[in-house]
Amino acid sequence: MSVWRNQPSNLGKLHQDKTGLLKHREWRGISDTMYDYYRWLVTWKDIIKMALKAPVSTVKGLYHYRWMASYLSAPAWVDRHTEGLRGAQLRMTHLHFNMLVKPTTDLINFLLANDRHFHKHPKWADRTVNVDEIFSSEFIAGFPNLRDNHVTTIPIFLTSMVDQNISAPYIDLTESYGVPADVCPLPSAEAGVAINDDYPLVGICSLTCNMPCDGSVMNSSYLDRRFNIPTQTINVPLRYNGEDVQEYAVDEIKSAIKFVEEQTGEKWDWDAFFTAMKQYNRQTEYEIQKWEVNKTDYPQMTGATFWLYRLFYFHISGGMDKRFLKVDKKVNRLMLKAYEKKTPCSKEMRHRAIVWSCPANYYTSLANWLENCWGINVIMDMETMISYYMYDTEDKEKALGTLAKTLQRTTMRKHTKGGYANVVDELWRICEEFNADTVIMYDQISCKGMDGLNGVFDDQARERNINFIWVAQDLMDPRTISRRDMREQINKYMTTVLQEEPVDPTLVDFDDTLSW
Amino acid sequence: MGFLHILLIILAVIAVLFIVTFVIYWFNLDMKLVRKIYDKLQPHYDNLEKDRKL
Amino acid sequence: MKYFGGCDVGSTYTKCVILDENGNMVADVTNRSKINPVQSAEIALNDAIAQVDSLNSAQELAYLVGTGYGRNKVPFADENISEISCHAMGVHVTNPDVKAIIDIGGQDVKGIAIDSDGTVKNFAMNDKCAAGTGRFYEAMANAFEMSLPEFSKLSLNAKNTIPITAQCTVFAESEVISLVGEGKPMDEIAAGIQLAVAKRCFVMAKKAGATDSITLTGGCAKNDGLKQAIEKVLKIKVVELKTDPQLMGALGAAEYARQKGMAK
Repeated sequence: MSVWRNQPSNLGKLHQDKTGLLKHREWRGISDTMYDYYRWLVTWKDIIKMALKAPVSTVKGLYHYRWMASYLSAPAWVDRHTEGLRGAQLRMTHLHFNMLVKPTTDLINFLLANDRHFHKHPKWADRTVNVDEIFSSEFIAGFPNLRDNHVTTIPIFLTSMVDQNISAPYIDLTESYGVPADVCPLPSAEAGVAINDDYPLVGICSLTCNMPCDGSVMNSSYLDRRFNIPTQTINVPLRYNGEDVQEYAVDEIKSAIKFVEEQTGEKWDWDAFFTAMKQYNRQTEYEIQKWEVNKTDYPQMTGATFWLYRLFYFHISGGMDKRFLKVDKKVNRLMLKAYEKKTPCSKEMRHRAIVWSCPANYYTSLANWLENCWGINVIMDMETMISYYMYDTEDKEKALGTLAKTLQRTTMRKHTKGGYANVVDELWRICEEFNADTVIMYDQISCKGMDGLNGVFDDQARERNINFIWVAQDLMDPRTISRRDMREQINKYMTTVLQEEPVDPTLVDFDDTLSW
Repeated sequence: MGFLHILLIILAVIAVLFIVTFVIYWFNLDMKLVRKIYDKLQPHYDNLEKDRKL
Repeated sequence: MKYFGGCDVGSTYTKCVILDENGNMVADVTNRSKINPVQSAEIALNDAIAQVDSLNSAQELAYLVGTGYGRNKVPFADENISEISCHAMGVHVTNPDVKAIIDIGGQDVKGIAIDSDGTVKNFAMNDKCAAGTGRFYEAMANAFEMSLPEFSKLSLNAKNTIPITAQCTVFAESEVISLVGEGKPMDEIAAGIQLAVAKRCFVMAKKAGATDSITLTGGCAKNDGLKQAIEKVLKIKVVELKTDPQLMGALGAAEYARQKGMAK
């Protein structure tokens, strides 16, 4: 039974048909509504600050880059992820999401201020190392006078989470270039941005890696042609559980360091690296504590609040951005206080769910809907469970070994590579540890990565009596399988197999095709 | 102008700012406006000349 | 005597069944669906009412359950229940020994595992692709310049099977036309088509966890060639239902209506 005050209800009635625009914001009781209002002011403050820091570049960016317009809807993105939340959950989510908005505005500012499209001799353009999106920033921590730029993150990867419609024009462009339509929409959209010359031209050299899929390798070639800067590929072992590949992996890191030193004239700085890794370790400790709480009967943090923040600090902070640690401390305090009081994390908590396989970028707030509509709490997911190795901050060889292992266990790579144990056995282990009775299994229809294991998942879920709900989606392209279609798949399972009544019937079916 | 007078003016300004921003927040006027701007920008992006040669 | 109605608005056909208090079927209708699903439901319901002397209008039904493909629902029904649940219940009341269904509708294919009380244990469906659905068969029958009943029997006596390699309805049609043009035996081509569909059905059934005692429902269940091909692929005999398999959704809806109406 819920002890939440001012419980959410009839949330579906708040949304306009098709656009999903809130008719008005949610009443959460005086305290929570005022807190939400305050956080809304902070979000706008950050957006306005970004514009005021470099107004000319911002306007130029908005004029030239389609993806810039999507970021204007950032407050709506936050609204989607805070829908139905109260008390500690509302506060933790806002703190996390604000810590996504802040670095994003900083990055946009940085990119536009150093974009060779708009400036002849930008200050940082030649002191930036481009990396692909699954690289983590721990690497650049060893070069304190340089910055890294996750090339595809701001223009398309993150944008597609803020605005579901951003990918379509870029995908169409790639297909008009002759790339087949059955390529994964992620590299397809990223290649489209390159074709349309919508990447800010920043960077003196580029580090890429053997991505988890062929589609991404294709995209790397487009990026290479667009940026036309020296590029080094780091070959990251896929059979990463074996110790026999680690020496090779460390050699690849060393060659990447040498490459950057040669291209930039900078030298690797161990002091700077160890300082950043100390913070990285602290952040990892806070992260593990969240997982421990979620294993109990009183999980506190669910859905995108969990995994999106994790992805961000893992890839973008690299232990260097102190603001993440400040947020971690605040959130940890809130979380432990709520846990001690045995506060429920949602109005109704009927099922404990693990989300497996990669979520749809165009529907990062599905977990909110799962909670509000069906009382399904997503207490752990595949994206969160990327590398949690702690760095040795004294021994150089050991630290490099950990950096190599971190890259091997990064987003998308950790569970889809390295064998069956990493994707199937691991799922059941996590279900047991977290006492989950439900798995939301994403079926990314453009990806062959896990296809061969479909039947295995089904059979083994039956043996374990786990509610196994397949949710087909197309990662970046909502035209193939819309958010509404995704919800319908879950609705069918909940009503047909589990025969449950929804927590909030107004959320069962609605049209949000034109929504951001 | 006395100190109290200035204080009253400041409080009045804060009150007006609070009311205006809260109305915008509550009725989601910010996102409704952004939506209009966003929709107007899409044809602009569709028609923008770009260097598409790689 | 109370009467209970079940209306199933499919993508291609709309079915309606009326049961009495004792679960006896007193009316059944199968009409081609119109573009407006509400209109389809109204017409089918009125046609069914007309078959029962003691009923004059739909309002006299004690309870009405609607179901249907996708978002096709019956807005004037007392309740709408998913078509998956209704199919399972329909088969369960017809033959309680059956534990799994392969339902091949106009636009989708489903595998459904049934529990001992007629509820659904698990299901798998393909509703994104026309391959292996009623639409696929319509296209194939057209390519053969035959009616559906004629086409369904064509493969029964084929000595060999010419495999159809294309997975997609559009490409399969091209492939079939080429084979016919090359003068290949029509019955062997038909056998290849049936095998292609049977393999897809096999996948759906396995995903749903179906192991034995399987039956076919939906319009394509009347396709004898498909039944033969499915038995070959699954290596078990398909259970024949004593009631029209195309009515299972409507029958299940009516049975739910009867259970809920009697409990009121």
